[in-house]
Amino acid sequence: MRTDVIVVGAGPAGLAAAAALAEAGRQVRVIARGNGFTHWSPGAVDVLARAGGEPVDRPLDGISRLPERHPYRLLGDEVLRRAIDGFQRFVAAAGLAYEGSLDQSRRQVTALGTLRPTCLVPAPAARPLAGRVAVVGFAGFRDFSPTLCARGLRDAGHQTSVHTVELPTWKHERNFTAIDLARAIDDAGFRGRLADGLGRATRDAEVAVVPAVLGLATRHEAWADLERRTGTALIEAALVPPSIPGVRLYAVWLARLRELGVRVQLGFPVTGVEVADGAVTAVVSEGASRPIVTRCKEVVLATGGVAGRGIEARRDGSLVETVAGLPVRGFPERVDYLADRFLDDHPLGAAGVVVDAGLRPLDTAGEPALRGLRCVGGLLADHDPTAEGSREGVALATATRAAERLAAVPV
Amino acid sequence: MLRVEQTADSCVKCNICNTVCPVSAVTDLFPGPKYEGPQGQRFRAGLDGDASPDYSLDYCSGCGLCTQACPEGVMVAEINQVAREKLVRSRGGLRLRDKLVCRPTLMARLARPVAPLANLALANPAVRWLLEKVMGVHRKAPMPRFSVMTFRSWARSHRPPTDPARTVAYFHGCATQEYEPEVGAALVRVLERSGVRVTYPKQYCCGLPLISNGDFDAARRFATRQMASLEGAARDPGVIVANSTSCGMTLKAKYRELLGMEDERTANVSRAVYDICEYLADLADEGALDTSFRPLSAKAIYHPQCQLMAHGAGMPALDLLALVPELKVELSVVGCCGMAGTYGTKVEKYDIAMDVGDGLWEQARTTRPDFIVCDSETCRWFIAKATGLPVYHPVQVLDRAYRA
Amino acid sequence: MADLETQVVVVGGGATGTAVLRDLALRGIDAVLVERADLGTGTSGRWHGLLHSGGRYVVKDPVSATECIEENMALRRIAPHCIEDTGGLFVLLPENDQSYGDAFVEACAKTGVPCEELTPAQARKREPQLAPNLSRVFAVPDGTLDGWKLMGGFVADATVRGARVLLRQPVVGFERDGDQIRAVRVRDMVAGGERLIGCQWVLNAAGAWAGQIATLAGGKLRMAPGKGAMVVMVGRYVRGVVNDCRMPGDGDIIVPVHEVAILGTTDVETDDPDDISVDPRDVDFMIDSAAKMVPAIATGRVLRAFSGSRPLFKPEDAGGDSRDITRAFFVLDHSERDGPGNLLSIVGGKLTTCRQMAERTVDTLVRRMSLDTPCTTGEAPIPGAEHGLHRLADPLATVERQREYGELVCECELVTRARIEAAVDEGTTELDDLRRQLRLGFGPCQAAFCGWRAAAIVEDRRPGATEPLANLERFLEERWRGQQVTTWGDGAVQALLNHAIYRGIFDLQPERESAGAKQVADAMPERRDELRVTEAAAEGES
Repeated sequence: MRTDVIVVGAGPAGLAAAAALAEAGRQVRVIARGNGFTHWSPGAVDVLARAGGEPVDRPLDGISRLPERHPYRLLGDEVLRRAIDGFQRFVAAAGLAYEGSLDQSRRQVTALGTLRPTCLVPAPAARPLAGRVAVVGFAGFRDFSPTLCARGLRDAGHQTSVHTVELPTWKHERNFTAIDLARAIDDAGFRGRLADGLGRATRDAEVAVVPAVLGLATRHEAWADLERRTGTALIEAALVPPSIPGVRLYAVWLARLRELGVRVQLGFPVTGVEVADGAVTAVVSEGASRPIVTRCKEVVLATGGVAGRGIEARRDGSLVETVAGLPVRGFPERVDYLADRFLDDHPLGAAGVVVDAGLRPLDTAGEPALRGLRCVGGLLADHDPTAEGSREGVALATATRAAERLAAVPV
Repeated sequence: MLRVEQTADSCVKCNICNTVCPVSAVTDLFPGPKYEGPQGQRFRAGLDGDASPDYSLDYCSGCGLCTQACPEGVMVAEINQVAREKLVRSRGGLRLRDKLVCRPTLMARLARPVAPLANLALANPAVRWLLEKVMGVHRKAPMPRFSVMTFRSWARSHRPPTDPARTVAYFHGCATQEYEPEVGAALVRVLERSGVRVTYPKQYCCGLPLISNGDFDAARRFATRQMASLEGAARDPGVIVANSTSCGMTLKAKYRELLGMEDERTANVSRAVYDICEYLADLADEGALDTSFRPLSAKAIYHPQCQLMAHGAGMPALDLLALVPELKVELSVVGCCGMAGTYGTKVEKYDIAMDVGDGLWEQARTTRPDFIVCDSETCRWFIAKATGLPVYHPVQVLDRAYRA
Repeated sequence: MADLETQVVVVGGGATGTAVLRDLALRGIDAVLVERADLGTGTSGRWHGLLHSGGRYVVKDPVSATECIEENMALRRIAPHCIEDTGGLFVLLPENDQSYGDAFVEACAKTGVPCEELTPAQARKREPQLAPNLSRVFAVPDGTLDGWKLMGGFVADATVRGARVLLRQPVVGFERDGDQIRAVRVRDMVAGGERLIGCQWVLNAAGAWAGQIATLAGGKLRMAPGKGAMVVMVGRYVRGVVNDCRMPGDGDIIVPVHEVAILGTTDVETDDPDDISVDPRDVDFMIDSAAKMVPAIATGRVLRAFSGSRPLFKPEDAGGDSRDITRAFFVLDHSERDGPGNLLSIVGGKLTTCRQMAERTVDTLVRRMSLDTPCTTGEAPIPGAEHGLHRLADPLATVERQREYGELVCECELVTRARIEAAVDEGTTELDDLRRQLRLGFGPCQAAFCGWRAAAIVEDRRPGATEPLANLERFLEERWRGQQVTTWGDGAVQALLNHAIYRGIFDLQPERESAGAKQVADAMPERRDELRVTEAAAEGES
């Protein structure tokens, strides 16, 4: 099999890179072992939420204080600006508008009643928390406790009331998850009946916080419709995985990739590359009965760090990049991977491949390791997407840079 | 412990599998792949391996979308299949209905002598009502029509090319042999068009219905005979093409993964198996495919069968269909049509299957294609029944485009 | 002026203390049990779960072996629902002393431990994961025991008869009148303040801490706690217990406990039973040792590791190191050890023999009290026994029968909302306590998904009883403690995903300080946990 560019990985970095490369005129195929962080992340675009443990008010200011080796510093602000700009236009056109800007951090309400710092939030999470806040759960939906959420919001100084709304009759009386509920809310009839109960619960409030399950295929329409029907501003609170706002974003990326003729193949990991004269000539992926070799001109690794299995943390303490064996800076002992306390930062989260400004992976001497190979997203060294809240920002910025460098037509 | 069972170790409980399961999306009876697979597996590993309490496991359709979506490599659907086998064994084996639907060759052999009558009977609503009451086969489940002439009898009277550039062996499977010899004929013509000669090694039912329903012992008997039969072809010509993506997947992977057949002969045969579109796409990559397709001015939906994705070779049919001028192909919006082999024929599962495929029926209604394309036979019958549209295997479209 | 009066104060809420409480209650003796933390947080919460057949001790410690097989049978009578009848195997590896095989068979016969030799082929049929090269295999009636369920059952049986249990109330002093203890002083770690419990007798069942308690009471008792580490695998691998057929040593046992396998263990003398650190080298050692018997363990996913201190007592005339100290138990009457005159200490032993330990202790007490009420604890079943032996698939069967899939809060362990609500309604609000009672958070995700759900339920059922996020943080940190030395491969992916949920999605920052949080945090005894690579380990001794 043969193609032009292969992107390995289908998380935010992989999808963004595939779309950007296809828009830049390349023919792209995505091969991934499975879904990725789109389904786990709360659907926002984190650019730089915290530095040194403290919330960052202006992402751009925070970035200027990051170490030189940080991906944002390597790439420069311009790329990030263009990436964020491009993202906002793309999602808005797809009916999934995001609010916010690089100049100002914002807070996203979570199911625990905490307010996570982030940069861009999808419209259903963007209403301001002001006035009387009704915190509304859905009966039988175990991944949102209005009591717990309300308590957290009260601690932050808000005036809250707690409600539980019964769901209209549907096929999932006893057993359902966020995704089932979101699909049900896509249906106008179900949604209309739900709106009655929701409206009653939110009657005396200026704004209501609900779990992030307001529709899936209908993008933000269901949320907008429920706001109209209830006459109340609605805020979707971020939940544990699976993240419905994340899956919405995944769906629009997938649709865009489909439009661009990009094939996405899930279920089998890429296990290696073929190299000739110091350049990558093909990727080798697992097939049902034999390895599948797909020849290509360029490979973009978007395999994530340890969390994405782009890097394997071995029992003997070594760290191995799982596709091309690129060098990964290690630790003296296995126990150095992790902090003593769970909620502290874990060094393993920042493990990655060192790259140059063109995202080419470098060998231990600081020279590009292999031609025809670029790295994007969480796979990069010198940043911890969770600890500093930068996952989507790095994904988008690196995707944009990769597309610039590999464009068939100048961008 | 089979390797697939060991993959349960890797589950991080993230719920991604639950987002793609088409069955748990439409029914309360199935708690989802995470619960059924790696989670339930931990409770099945003890002394009482023969006593399985899993009522809900029966509702897994085996489509495998969960295995594909899992970022950690947990083979969820396969874990369910292994558990189902234990469940069936603990209940004393398959019920009669399942025993029969698992043996399409047997059913065909019984019906062939009276094929026209059998077809007539199976089209009769009263007969179907009786069948549902007595056997549990849903009265509306699509039943294929027994062909009067088998594929192999067509092949026997077909003259092969005299100077082929290459040769492949053909695993036609039960459906082509008994119900749809025209698909096999199209495949042979398409291959011959590019100078490929086709041979027909002795072969048996791939055994997938037995595997899916949970009779691994019987499946192993078929599989062992199969490997003995095909090992010659695996050596020479060294390529075995299959048009059913279900049969192909079974030969490539399921004997090893589920039946524990890890011998060299099985490995050699599995390595030699190609889905026909995979093979044709490779030919095209090498410039060895005849691309003189005539324009086919039509609109089609391509539904990549769930088990096609289990080959790990992407969707080669799309590349091939793209070579046919004027043919507009839209990708199906669903990952599984619902039929899932024999699942959709069962009285207790038919409605679930129809709900699973609902997105595709809706797409067909709004897109109004001229036909639908799908690589797997039972899916074709189900989709045809649900949409009223003709449904073809990709090679049939190519064959048509060569001859238009 | 005492706040409470009773006949007997039992110190220590582990297996021994709760068994003693039950025995006293069944004999109509009024008693109060005081425990510094939660039931089963000492050695009884940090062990491998083996219901000994005695096979392990037949050669080296025959007295202990006989005690074990007797109690194995007794516990099956009175608490079958706490037991999984897994059976056990002793496998003789070709590289070990082959003569131990015959010695083993002979010693089993002598000590009354049933033993049946299997061919390696038969053994592998029963245990498909066994190593291919075994010389001989012996089957014994090992089982596995759920210690917390057992302790809960003992306490339920006792409290229904009027016994009282004071949790989170450590002993801080004794009031004596000459040679006699008149009262026990405890501190209430949750509500604050102290409490005086007037009593006539004190039974010291503090296990590895018994020496500290006795000293506080003015008595003489020196324990020789033996610290042992254990590794928990995510999967179970084996149907029954697998032992290395050799002289008892380190890394020679694999115990299937519910859905996991616990690999054990080491034995290092320590003077600090609150030291629960685990040396990463011990982790590697135990995995490699277990892999000799079940090769798949070498590449399997590790869940966590933990350590606990055995309550070993070295009788004055005995010598040798920690491994050599007898596992037999001793009832020490302090009136024969220079006082106090009304203090009895019960030390040594195995969790398997806790009931028997309690019987001998209360027999001694009853004699001292000049009564002759007999013990009935060996025959009377505890509440829950009607369920019969536990089977691994029971939780799955229950959920399937009731179609409770949507009710699961801890999905890994199949714990329903109703069961958590019931426990909260009965007074349990600490998530870590719920863990012990219900197995909340024991599974592969280590409370990532159920932790916060449970915190929400606690807040729903008992608003204001805890600070929910602090409760959650304590729980997550406790779960983390066992993972730091065992995280690589799949476990590393899980750890980072969990971190992405709590730091990334929920933005839970470390150290949520609040009055309630600090208070309850203080209520847990300080456990020392730093990863110290000791000099001894560095020199190769282990």
